[in-house]
Amino acid sequence: MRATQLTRWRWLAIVAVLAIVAAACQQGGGGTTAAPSDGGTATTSLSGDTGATTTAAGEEEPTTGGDLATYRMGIFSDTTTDNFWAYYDPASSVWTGYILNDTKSALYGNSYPGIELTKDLAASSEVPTGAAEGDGWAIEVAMREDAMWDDGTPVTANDVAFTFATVRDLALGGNWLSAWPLPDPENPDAIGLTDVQAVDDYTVKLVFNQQPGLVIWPHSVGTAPVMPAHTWGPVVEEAKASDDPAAALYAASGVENDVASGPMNFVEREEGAFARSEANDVYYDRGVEVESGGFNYTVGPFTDESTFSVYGGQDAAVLALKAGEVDYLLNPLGMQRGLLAQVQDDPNLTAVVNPTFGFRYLAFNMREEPMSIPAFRDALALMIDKEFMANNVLQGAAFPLYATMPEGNRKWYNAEVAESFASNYVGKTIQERLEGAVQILRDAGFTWETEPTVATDAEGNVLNAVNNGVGIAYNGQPVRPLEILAPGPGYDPLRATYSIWIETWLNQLGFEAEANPTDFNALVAAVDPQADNTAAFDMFILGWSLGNPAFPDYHHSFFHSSNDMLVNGGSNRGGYASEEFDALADAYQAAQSEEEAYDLMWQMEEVLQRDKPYILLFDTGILEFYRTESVAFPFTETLGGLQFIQGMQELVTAAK
Amino acid sequence: MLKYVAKRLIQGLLLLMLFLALLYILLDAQPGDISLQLSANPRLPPEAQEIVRERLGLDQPLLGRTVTYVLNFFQGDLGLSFTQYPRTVGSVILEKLPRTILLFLSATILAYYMGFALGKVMAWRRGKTVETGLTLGGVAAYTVFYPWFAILMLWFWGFQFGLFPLGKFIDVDEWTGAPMAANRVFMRMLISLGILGLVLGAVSLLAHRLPPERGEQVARYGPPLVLVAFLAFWWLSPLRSYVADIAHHTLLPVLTLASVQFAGVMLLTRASMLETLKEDYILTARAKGLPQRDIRNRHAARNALLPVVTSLVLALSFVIGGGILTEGIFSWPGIGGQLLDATLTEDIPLATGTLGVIGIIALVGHLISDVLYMYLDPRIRTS
Repeated sequence: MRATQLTRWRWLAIVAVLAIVAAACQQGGGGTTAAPSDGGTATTSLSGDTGATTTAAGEEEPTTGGDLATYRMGIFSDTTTDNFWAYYDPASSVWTGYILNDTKSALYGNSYPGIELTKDLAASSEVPTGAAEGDGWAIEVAMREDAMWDDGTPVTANDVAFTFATVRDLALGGNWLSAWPLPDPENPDAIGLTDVQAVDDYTVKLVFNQQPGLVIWPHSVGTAPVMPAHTWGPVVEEAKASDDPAAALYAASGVENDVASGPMNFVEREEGAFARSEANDVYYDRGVEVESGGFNYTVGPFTDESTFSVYGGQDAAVLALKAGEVDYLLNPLGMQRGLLAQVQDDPNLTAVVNPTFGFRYLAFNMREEPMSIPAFRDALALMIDKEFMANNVLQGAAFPLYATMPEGNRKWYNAEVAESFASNYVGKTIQERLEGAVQILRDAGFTWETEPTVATDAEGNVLNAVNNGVGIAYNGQPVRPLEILAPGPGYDPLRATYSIWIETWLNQLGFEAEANPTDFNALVAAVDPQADNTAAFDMFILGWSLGNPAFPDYHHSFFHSSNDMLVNGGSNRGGYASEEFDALADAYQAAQSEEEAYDLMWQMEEVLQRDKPYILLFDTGILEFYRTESVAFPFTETLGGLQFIQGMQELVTAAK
Repeated sequence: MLKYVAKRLIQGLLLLMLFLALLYILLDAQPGDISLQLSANPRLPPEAQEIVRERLGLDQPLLGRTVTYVLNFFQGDLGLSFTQYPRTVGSVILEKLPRTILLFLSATILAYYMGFALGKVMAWRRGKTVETGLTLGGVAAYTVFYPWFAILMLWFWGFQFGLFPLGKFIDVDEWTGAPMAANRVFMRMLISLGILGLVLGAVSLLAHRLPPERGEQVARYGPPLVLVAFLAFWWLSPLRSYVADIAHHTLLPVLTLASVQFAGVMLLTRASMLETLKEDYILTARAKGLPQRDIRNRHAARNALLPVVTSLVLALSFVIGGGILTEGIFSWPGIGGQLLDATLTEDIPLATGTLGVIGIIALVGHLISDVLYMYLDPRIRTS
C-alpha cells in the first residue's frame, strides 16, 4: 500500500511539473519583432593574423530595412534607477545610461560616426559665442520651436533655466556639476555658470563668471541634459521643503514624473529582469537626413520600442543572441574574444570590433627619484617593445599606442605626428633598445657595477636575451628597489602581463624592480593621496576612458600641475609639473575655435612625448555582436562601438 | 525546553551583535571607498566627490559608524545603499530575497528528496550493481565542475531543445505591461507554497492521529487532493500565466542545482542507513517477518533521517546566500549576485546588510536544528 502511495505521489509530481510547463508554453513567447527574415547578410570579416573582426562599413551594402517592432537588447547588469536626476548623480551607471540617455535632449549634441557638434534643442548648429556683460560673460541661445516633450508640451527656455536652478539650489553633485559647472568661491579662475535665464520661451541666456572656452561652452553646458519643468517642478518644490532635498528628488519615481524629449521614452522597468522604452512619437528630429563621418542616414526612431533584458553572463547572452531572443548585446567592455567563434559560426550573426576612446598607461611618481629623472623614463620607454607585447604576448588582443589621443577619434587624431612619435621606437632590435637605453642612463649619471649587455652565443652571435645589469647607482648612490602596481590578472590580464614584462625590462637595465598585480580597489587606494597627503607609489599601470570625444578635455585633468592630486585631489597622480605644458593646457581650455584647440592639443602631445609623465602602452578594441538577421544599422564603424551611442536606438531598422 | 530555547536565543543575539560589528569593520577595512568610483571620472571635480562622501556619512569616524550601524540594524534600519542611493538596503534585500528563496529552497528540497530516496536504496542494496551505479553517478555529480555543467544544461535544454528559457526569471514579452510587479507574484507564490507545505503537514498529522483505517484513507487521498486544489487555485487565478512563466524559468536552474546537490545527501543517507541497519531492532523486525519494504522505509529509513534532517535545516539556513555562480549563469538576480556586486563596488551598507540577514537566518537555522534534534531524538531531550 505504501509503495502504491509513493508511486502515485511521484506521478502526481510529474503531472504537476508537466502542467506548469504546458501552461508556460501556452504563453506564446518568442519575440515580437516583425523583422522580415529573408536571409541573413552576415558581414563579418576577419583580419587573418589576429582573428579579430573588423568592420568595413564604407564597403558594405546597405542592409537597413523597414520599421522594427521591438529592438531587443541584452545588458549585463540591472539598471540602478528610473530617475534621471539620480542617474546623473549617485546612481550613475553605464547600464542605466543605455536606457535613459536617449530620453533627454540638450542644446547641442554630437553626430556619429563623425563626432561633429550639431544642434539639438538649439535653433542652429552655429554656436553663439556671447559677449561680456558686467563682470561676467553672457551667451544667448535661440532654441528651436518644434521640440516637444512626449506629452505634447513644448520644450522651452524655461526648462533649461529650471534644470540649472535645480542643480544649483538643491546642491546636486556628480555629473550634474560637470555638466552645469558652478563658480568655485575658493578659486576665482574656475569658470562657472552664475545664472541661466529664460529671456522668452525660445531664447535662453547663459551667464558665466568669465568667458568660457569651448570645453565649457558648448561642450559641457551645451550638451547638458535638459529636464522638464512642468512635470518635475512640483517634485523639486516638495524636495526643497524636505531635510535632504537632493535625496528627496532622487527618491522620486522617474516613470511617474518624467517625460521624454529625446528619441526614446523610458516606460517600464521590472527590477532584475528588463527595462523598456518606447519610441517618442513627437521626436522633433525624426526623418532628418544626417551626413556624418562620410555616412548619410535618416534619423528615426524606426523601432516602436526597445527592450533591455538583463543577463547574468556573456555565455547565456550569446546563446540568447543565437536563439533570436535578443538582437544586440550592450556592454561597455565589449564581448569576450572567447565567444567570437560561436558568432562566426552563425550566419545570422555579425561581430564588429571598433576602437575605444581610452588608453592604458604606465604612470610615474615624478616626485621621487629615479622616476623624476627624465633619462629613467626615456630609457624605460625605449626598452618597452609595444609591438612585441601587442602581437606576440597579448596575441593581438591589444594594439600599441604612442599618443594619448587614440587613433579611433578620427576628428582629433593627427596621424602624422603620432607616427613620428612611434618612429622612435618601432622596429628596433633588442640590441638597439638596450644599447640606446644604457647610453641614455649613462649620460644622465647612472653607473653600474656590471653594465647590462645583450647576450651572445659562443661564436659571438647576438641572442634574443640580455645579461642583466648589476648594482645600478645614480650619482654614486644605489637606486632603491622599485614597485610597479597593476590590476590583477582576474581584473585585467593584459595589464597584469604588461607589468611583469616591465619588471623584466627594468631588471635588464639593472634596476631592482618588482611587479605587483593587485586588487583593483587596493591599487586605486594605493595611488590616491595617503593619510599624510603623500604619494606612496613608484609606478602604476591603469587606464582612462576619455569622456567626450567631440572636444577632449582630459589633458588638463591628467597633466596640469593645478590638478596634482596632492594639491587638490585631482587626476594628476604622478605630480607632473611643467610650466610649458600648463601654459598650453590653459590656452586649450580657453580656446575659442576647434582649429586653435587642435593645434594646442598636439603641442601638448609633443611636450608629453618629451617629458613622459605617462608611457602609453596599449588599447583594446571593443568587440560587439548583433543579429544581422533581424536588425541593421546605417553604420557600424564608430568610436567606442555601437554601445557608445546606446546601441543606436534612434537609427536601428529591421534587416532588409 | 523553553529555558533552553530562551538561553540559545540570548546567545544568538549576542553573537549577532558581535558578528555585525566585526562584519562592518572588516568590510570597512577594504581598500578605498565609494568615492573611488567617482574618482574614475576625471571631469568630476573633487567637491562633487566630497558631497557624496558627506551625504553617505563617510566623513564620520569608524567606531561611531559601527555602533550606529549595529544599533540601527536591530531597529530594522540597515542604512542606505551607496550604489543605489537613496534606496534603503532593506528594500534592495527585500527585492532580491523572494527570488533567491524560491530558487534555492526548491532546489534544496528537491535535492534532499532525491538524495534521501536514492541513499535509502543504496544502503538497502549494498554491494549490488545499483549501489555501484548510484555511487559512481553521485560522485560524478558531486565533483562535476559546476559552471561548466550549468552552461551545458543551459545549452542542451535551453538552446538545443528549446524546452526551457535561456536563463532569466521572467519573459520580457510576457511581462510587458504586467498588472503586477514580478516580486509580488514571487511573494504570492512563496506564501502559497508555504501554505501548501503547512496543509500537507497537517494532513499527515491528521492521518497519524486518526484510527488506522480512516488514517490510511486520509494519507492516500488527502495529499493528492490538496495538491490538486493548489494547482486549481493558480490555474483559475488571473495571474496564472505569470506564475507559469516564473515556474517555467525556475525549473532548469532548480534541476541543475538539485542534480549536483543531491549526491551529498545520498551518500550521507547511505552511511546513516547502513549504521541503522546494524541495530538490533532491525534484526527484530526481520525476525518478526515484516515485509522488507516496511523494514526499510518505516524502521530503518525513519531513524536514519536524523542527520539528514539536521543537514537539511542547516542547508536551508544558507539558502539565502544563494549561489553566485548559479545566479550569474542563469541570469537569476538574487542575493548572491547582489552580495558580490556590493562587495566589489564598496557598497558597505548593502554588503553588510546582506551578510547580516544571512547571519540571522543561519542563527535561526541552528536554533531550529537544536530544537529538532531534541524533538527527534529522545536521548538528547533526556540529557
